[in-house]
Amino acid sequence: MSIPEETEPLRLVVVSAGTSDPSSTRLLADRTAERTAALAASHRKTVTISVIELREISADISAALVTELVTPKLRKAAGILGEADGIIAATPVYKAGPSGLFTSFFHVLDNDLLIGKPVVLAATAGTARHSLVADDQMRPLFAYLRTMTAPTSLFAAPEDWSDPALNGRVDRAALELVLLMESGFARKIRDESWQSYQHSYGSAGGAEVAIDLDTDLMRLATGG
Amino acid sequence: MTAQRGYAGNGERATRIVGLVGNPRAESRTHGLSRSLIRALGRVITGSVTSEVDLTSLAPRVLDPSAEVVSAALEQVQSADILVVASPTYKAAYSGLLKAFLDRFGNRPLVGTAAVPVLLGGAPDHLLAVDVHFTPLLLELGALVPARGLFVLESDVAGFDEFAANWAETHAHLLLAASRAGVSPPVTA
Repeated sequence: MSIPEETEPLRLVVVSAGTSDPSSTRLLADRTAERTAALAASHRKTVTISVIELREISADISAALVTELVTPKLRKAAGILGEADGIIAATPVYKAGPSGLFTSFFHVLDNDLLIGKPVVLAATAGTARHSLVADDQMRPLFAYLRTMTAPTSLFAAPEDWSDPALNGRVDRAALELVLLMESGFARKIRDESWQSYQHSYGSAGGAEVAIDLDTDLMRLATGG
Repeated sequence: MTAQRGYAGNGERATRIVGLVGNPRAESRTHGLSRSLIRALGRVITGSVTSEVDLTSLAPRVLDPSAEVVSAALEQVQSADILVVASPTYKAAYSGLLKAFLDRFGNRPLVGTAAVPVLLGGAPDHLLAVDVHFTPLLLELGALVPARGLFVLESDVAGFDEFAANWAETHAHLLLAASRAGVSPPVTA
């Protein structure tokens, strides 16, 4: 019997708000992405990994906040997320919350870009006292964005990096992500129930309403 | 016109009232309400001076750590005895721009400052966001937050001045007492 081959690889996108290179935030996200790819392989699925480093597009995020100008770099990042089958969203903790860069990025994205998409939340901090930032503060933001957020959130303080328990949690989150991605949940929501979600005009590049914004006339009309 | 009570400020020096506006858009209703509140507080607290930091003008530089003009704004905020921090409601919480600005502070910069978080919303749905998300941020910065945070509907813009006058009348003494206390919530661990 031949093994059926998966035609489409699963597209995994890492969003990292780490400010240094390398950063512990990116390290946690990468470790999770690698384990997700490995676990997907054991499910006979291939995974492609794209990385959005917010540090590299901070000026684009600022511009979008102030002027609503969507630069090509920001448009590209939003496009990659729009095509994602799964997302790992990782931020350092500042002032007991996700960084302003991280939240600003998700503030400038359209409200309905990520509906139903599987997301693993990850945060890194200098102290264990911020362990609940992912669940207390990031999870509500992603609830607003209506993502399918994995039950296991990841957090790493300095002492966690040498603790095998972190890898255990990473594996747990990675498997949740694989199962959610391969279920096709987000795609099925789009296909079967898209109209039942609240949308605003222009909020999903035309997918939010039954008109095609991607024509010359509509591009002109929407200033795109 | 309500009869105004006067509250004595700190005596030897002027009580500094600062409005911090976290809306990236110029002349926003967030800015309008912040201005109403600092003016109203300025009227009822004798010997006070008011100023504001509007992140609109700083926005492109907030994420650039080398921008000195942002450092000046941070110092102005840190110098406040009473700080009004106003933000629009973005995706169910305060704005990322405001957070990016506050992220640039060192550890517990607002010890000795009494702060009031103000969230403007388009609909009442996010009323609790101010106390669930916004107040804890100010506490983490070391500020005392002696009153419940304000959640105000943008559509009430015509009543901002009256609202601010009434609120200042009833809450100025709490803010003054907290700023004089010079203590802040304990940090555990």
